[in-house]
Amino acid sequence: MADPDDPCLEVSASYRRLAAELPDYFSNPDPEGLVILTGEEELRSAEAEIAGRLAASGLPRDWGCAGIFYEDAWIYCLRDVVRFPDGKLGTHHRIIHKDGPESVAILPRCQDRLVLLRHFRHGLRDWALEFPRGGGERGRSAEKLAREELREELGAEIISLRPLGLVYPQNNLMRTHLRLFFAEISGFGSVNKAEGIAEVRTVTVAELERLIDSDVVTDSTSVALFTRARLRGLL
Amino acid sequence: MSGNGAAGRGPRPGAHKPKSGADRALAAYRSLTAERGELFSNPPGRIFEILTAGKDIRRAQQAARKARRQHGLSTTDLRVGVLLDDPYLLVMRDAVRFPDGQVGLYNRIVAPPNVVVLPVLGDRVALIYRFRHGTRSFHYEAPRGVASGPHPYEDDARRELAEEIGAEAAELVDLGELHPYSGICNEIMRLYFARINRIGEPELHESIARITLFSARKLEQAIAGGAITDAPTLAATLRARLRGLL
Repeated sequence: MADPDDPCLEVSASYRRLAAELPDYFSNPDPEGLVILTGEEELRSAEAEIAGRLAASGLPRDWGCAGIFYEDAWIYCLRDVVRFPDGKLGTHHRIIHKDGPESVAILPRCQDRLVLLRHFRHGLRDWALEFPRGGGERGRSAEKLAREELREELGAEIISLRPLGLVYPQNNLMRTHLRLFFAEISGFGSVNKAEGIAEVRTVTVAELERLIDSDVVTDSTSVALFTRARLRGLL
Repeated sequence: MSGNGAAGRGPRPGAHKPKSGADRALAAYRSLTAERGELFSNPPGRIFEILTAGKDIRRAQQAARKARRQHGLSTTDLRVGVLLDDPYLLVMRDAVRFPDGQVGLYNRIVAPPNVVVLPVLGDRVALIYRFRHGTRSFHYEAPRGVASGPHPYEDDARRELAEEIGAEAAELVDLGELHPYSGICNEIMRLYFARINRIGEPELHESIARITLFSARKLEQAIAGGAITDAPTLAATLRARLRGLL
């Protein structure tokens, strides 16, 4: 049955298991969108066509395979085989967070100052000034997570918490999104050094605008959160 | 060609052909440290310091094995190095010393830079309603795409305008940079504001259902009310407002 020369043999079984396990991630809600090919026959014929194209350009045939090509305790990296709206076949990567697609980010205000954290971010290999945020956990409410993040990252005393909807930081690659909150806090304690936080910095609204305008604050989620709070008239 | 867009980056074979997957991952990593040193910087402060000496890497792997066992996690894959490298995405795992002094492993994703362009026709902002593979749904957002050239990415910004809304920029203003997912990814988005004179048709390949024009007021309402959820579009709107462009 299995063709030993099939370049997709190694990665295909786990991909098909995941598609069965998380059908929601493999849905084709709209014919105008990118259609994920999951039917066995159409998928195999598409993989063969793409592999042929790659081989003709001197590239590895297995770059055309649908598969989970990387997995660890937190994420799956997938390669899907898709049909674009113009009918062309191709591949598209995705990242799926195992703990679910939701995390939280909070804009804390202490009296008239906004509270930012200076974090070291491994992805950038640099320091970044950001609002507190944290990963989700399946089945826990976003509000509960937001309260925990404020306590753990900032040791904050929370007066009130107000939801501000959600944002997608990278909708091309992942469904992961952040539930946004605006928090009034009465004070904060010491920061969690083990998480790579060096300091807390408090700024006025005008100062934060200057930091965003001058490329000092470049975290997509933090800027989006500030934008939403501003346009809701909270700041 | 693919939806991720491609940086012109080919496979990166090791200097020789080692046998095991672990050796291959590490050999590719060694080549990468030589070619792209900026990915491995260790700035001052209490950071996640990248460790590249062989004995430090082994120590970090041992610590990760122990920690994973304690948490009931799999210990079969403790490779350090380049775990995946195809034209659209590179996944690697570093050995690091955490700020509390402990050593361990830390994954990250290396992706090519993007341009995001906020186009304005007269006094209205043109957003596209586009299907995104990551979320498997449609979003209102500013045109964006992978940057292929070196910075400044003005040519890339102009190309995206042409491909996605059939427009030409009469004026292009650099709105600075943005990091979409700094915890695990090095991706940079470069934001631009563009004044355009006309709107044409989007290319079919881009899965754009329509182009919608928003007055500044309507755009603000759509952001405040949560109809627009694309973070880079929110950020470009704010930066344009701060510069007095909207």
